[in-house]
Amino acid sequence: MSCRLSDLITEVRACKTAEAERARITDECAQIRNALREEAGGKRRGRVGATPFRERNMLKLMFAHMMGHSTHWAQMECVKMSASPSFHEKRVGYLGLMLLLDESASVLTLVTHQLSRDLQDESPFVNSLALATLANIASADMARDLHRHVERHLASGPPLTRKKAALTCIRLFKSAPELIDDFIPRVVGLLTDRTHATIMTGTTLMWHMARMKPAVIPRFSKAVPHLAKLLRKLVVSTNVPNYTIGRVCDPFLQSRLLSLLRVLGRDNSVASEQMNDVLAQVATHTDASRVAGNAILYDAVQCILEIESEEGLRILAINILGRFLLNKENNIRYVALNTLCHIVDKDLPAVARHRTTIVACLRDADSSIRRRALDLVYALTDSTNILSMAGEMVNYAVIAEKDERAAVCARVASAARRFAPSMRWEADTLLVLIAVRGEAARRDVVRRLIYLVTAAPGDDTQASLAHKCAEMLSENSSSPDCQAPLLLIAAWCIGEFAAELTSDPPPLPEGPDDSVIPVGPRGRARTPKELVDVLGSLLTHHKAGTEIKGVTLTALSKLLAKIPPAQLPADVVETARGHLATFQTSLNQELQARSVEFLALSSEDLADVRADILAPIPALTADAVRRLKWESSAAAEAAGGDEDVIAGLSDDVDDDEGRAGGTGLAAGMRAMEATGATADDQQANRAATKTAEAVDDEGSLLDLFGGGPSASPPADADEDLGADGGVADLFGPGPAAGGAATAAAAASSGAGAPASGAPAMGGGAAGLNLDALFAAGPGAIAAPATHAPSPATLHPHMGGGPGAAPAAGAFAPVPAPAAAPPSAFPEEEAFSFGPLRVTLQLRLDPADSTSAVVTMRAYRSPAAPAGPISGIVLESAVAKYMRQAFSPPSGSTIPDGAPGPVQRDVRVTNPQRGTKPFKVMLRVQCVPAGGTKAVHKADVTGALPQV
Amino acid sequence: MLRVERRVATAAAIASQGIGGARKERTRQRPRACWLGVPATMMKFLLMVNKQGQTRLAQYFDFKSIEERSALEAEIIRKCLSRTEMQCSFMEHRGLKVVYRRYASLYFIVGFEEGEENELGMLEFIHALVETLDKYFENVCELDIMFNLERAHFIVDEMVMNGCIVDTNKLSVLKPVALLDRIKA
Repeated sequence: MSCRLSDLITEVRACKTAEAERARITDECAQIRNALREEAGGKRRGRVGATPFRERNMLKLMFAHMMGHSTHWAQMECVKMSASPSFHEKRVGYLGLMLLLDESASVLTLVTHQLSRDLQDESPFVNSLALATLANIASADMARDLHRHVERHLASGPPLTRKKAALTCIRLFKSAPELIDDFIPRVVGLLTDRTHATIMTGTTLMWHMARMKPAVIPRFSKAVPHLAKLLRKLVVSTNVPNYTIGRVCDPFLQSRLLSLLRVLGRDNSVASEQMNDVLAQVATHTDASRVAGNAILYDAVQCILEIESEEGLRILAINILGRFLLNKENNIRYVALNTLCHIVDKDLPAVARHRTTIVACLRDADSSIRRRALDLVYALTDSTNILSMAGEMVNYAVIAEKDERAAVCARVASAARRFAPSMRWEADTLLVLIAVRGEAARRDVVRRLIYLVTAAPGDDTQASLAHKCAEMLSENSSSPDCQAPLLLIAAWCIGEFAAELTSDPPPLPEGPDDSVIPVGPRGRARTPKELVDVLGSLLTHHKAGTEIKGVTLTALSKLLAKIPPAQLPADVVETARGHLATFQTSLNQELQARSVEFLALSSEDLADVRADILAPIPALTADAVRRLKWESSAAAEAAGGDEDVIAGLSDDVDDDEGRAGGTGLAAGMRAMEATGATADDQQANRAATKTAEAVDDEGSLLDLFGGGPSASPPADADEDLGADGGVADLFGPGPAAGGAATAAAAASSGAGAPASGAPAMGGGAAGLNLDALFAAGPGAIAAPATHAPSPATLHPHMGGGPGAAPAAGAFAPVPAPAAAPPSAFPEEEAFSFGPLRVTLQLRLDPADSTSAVVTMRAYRSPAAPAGPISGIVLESAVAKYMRQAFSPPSGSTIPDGAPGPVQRDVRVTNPQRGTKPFKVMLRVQCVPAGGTKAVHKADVTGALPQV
Repeated sequence: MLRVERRVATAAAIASQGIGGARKERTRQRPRACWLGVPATMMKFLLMVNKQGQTRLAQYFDFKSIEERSALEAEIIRKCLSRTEMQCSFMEHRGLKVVYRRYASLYFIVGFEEGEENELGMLEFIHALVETLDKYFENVCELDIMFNLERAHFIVDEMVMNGCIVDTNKLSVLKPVALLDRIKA
């Protein structure tokens, strides 16, 4: 015995727990399944006759399906029921088909035959049932089999089937697009039907056809006058029974007509002309006091803005939107904002007129409206209004719901970056953003801020930013909503600018910049004790993860080195050492290693090298940041673990600060790697920047001299113990130093294991590291030749350590070209300079048409005095739109009597080859015998064959 | 059987690649559900859900597995309930635009793709649907729809087909339904 659906529902409702409900439904499903099986068995045994509870069972199954139970086993029963002679059973059977069917197409083939019969049935009710089912489930095969029947219903028949046949066609066309063309005459005929429903479905069908196959639009545009007439009739007629809603005649039909006109009028001035009048009529005659009227106005506005309408009509449309925006009802304001979002990239001034209203919507109580408004505010932001807009967006970040915060942060960061009036302003804005919603911001916002601080012009700016950071930290650190990235930045700032923080913050800059700095705390002078205490509190802060702890450890040890010993009371030093020792027994290996290392570094024994190791980070150049991104994304790919490349990028910042602190190399070293420049080369950097400025527009050169590996090749081992020497000493003698440096370079680029530096720290054990072995060990013979090309392009600092380059020079006089021998151009003389004659040879890379290898060669010029020429450095710089990657030079000395050459390959890539030239500058240094160092720079663009 | 295997595979992936790799694996495994590869039409679904979050009627116009359906319904009703009377009737959910309207304890919810439909028009359509149900059931309430699930479906079927509005005229919508009642009686 089977219960009725209503009984089942009552029982289910009476269940006390969800578990009981599920059990009841499962039980019922099992009973139905048994019933179905028995029935099938009975049929096989020859018993015929109506089975009593089929319909009831099917309804219960639909209920179970709605409650989330699997019912796929009943699909066959649906098919059987749809073949029933009883109309009611058939109806339920088809309903079951529409609801219960899943993706298995096997049942569908069985239905096709039944559908075909029902489509040809005498009763229009049966026909309409079959059409509805076909509209919901038709597959491509069914479409091809049955479209003839559908076409017949479309051509003639009562409204009941005709309206449904139109919508069924949509499904058929989607399944089998080739049918569209045959139907066009029939479809246009639908528009002359007398019933609203048929016209509406016909319009819907035309709209879909136009979207599926734009080629039919011209054939439909003939119908535009007719469509306009239909629309006009609806606008002027007031009271049509059963169709009038909110004093508007059939808003659904009007809406569909307007959508179709929108598609037909797009980029078609004739059609647009034909509909101008009626659109004006709709816009002026529609009663805007009800939802229905507003819906039509909304469609009309969209239509007017999209077609080639008259100027007056556009103004009318924009005014309607303005009225919508001021409407009290949220729904109306929402659609207004939505429309403005659509047109903002086409008609910015029209949208900009409503700026104040839109900005006000950002403070609306309704999150849907706020979200739309945010899109618009971002689109409207430009360099003239960035100050107020960024403020509004930051305010919005505070109130935004959790799932929107990331979007808001991204918008603020992007707007600030694009339109910032000054670097200082951008840094201030990002700092405020990170303080309020840093956790939602992507990691590259943090990265960008650190870049801005290091690159900030002038010490005053840096110092005042650092003060601001510290102040924000002390304001926020105790609040439960404190943002972890703020802790990170503040810890980093305290470490880097400890000395500046002990004096008063510099006065605010005067002049025009003054007004554009967001108001914020200025900070005050802090005693070393305060700073140490703040850092100490960060080590145990509830939001501080391993990363922040690592940065804080680095900051503590930097602080001890930055503040002059005279200002550091012994007890503060002891407290700081106490903090450093916190993680000596930590389970986290990184933290523990750092703790021990920094503690050792803070002892008196190493006082003489501390300053070098903990030297300030040189300003990151935009180029260095870009290169870091590039490398870390490559490394992330190689590691294969990191999903988000950008997240991978941002890790580099931490590499600079915390984790690569993990490589056992102190900050000065890391700084060197980050920028690829030593202190000496920084001077070169500045010189090169000046040169670059002196050159023309494109001459703002990307790879500044001295950046990257060009920093590496010092003339000989004796000379290069400058700034690096101190660091190198720490790690042991000669070659190992180079190895360590290389290992660090590899580690900083994310490829090496973080622990790789630790053995190096032990003193000369660099051989443990594979990379180090390659660059400095005996294996170096093979290394530069085979290994150099790929690392040299991927990681420009590879082989850039003080020891590595001479080694490369000694063992591999001619570095192998990066790829298969490119097609070569003849060697061209570029210029002569002092004792040297410099030539260039360009070889195109057959694999990559945008890049070429330029070989620079320095020969002894015939006029040169006898004696060795030493200290030869060949460097190049390329225009901003190009990239370059160096290979190690073959050497740096031309011995007495030898003609040379010293040569060096540089791979230049010009992604815009064809539109822009290969623009290259050279810088050559040398020390002639008995002379002093001489430098020469020249633009060699002319000497290169422009290909 | 298949599902178990997949779970094991995921666990193995976590073990071998770490969390990041596993996440990638999972996103790859979930194909875009699409009814027989046919692009979906305008309305994606029509739901009637009460304030307790129980679904009273659900009609989907593109294919979704049962798990996806339950998850979608739960998420949407939770969002609806968190909104106040004062807020607008539109929200965005998983890239779809959702229009909802509350009548007594029952939420009528329609989802469609952005730019495919007029939001205000959808709101008006929900109202037309409710008025039709009201006319048929005479002062409709949640229980009417619940206990007469098939009738409610018949009426919805007469008004929406494959996500497009067929008719909004109460008389012509109710004619076939009334006929069914007459046959049954």
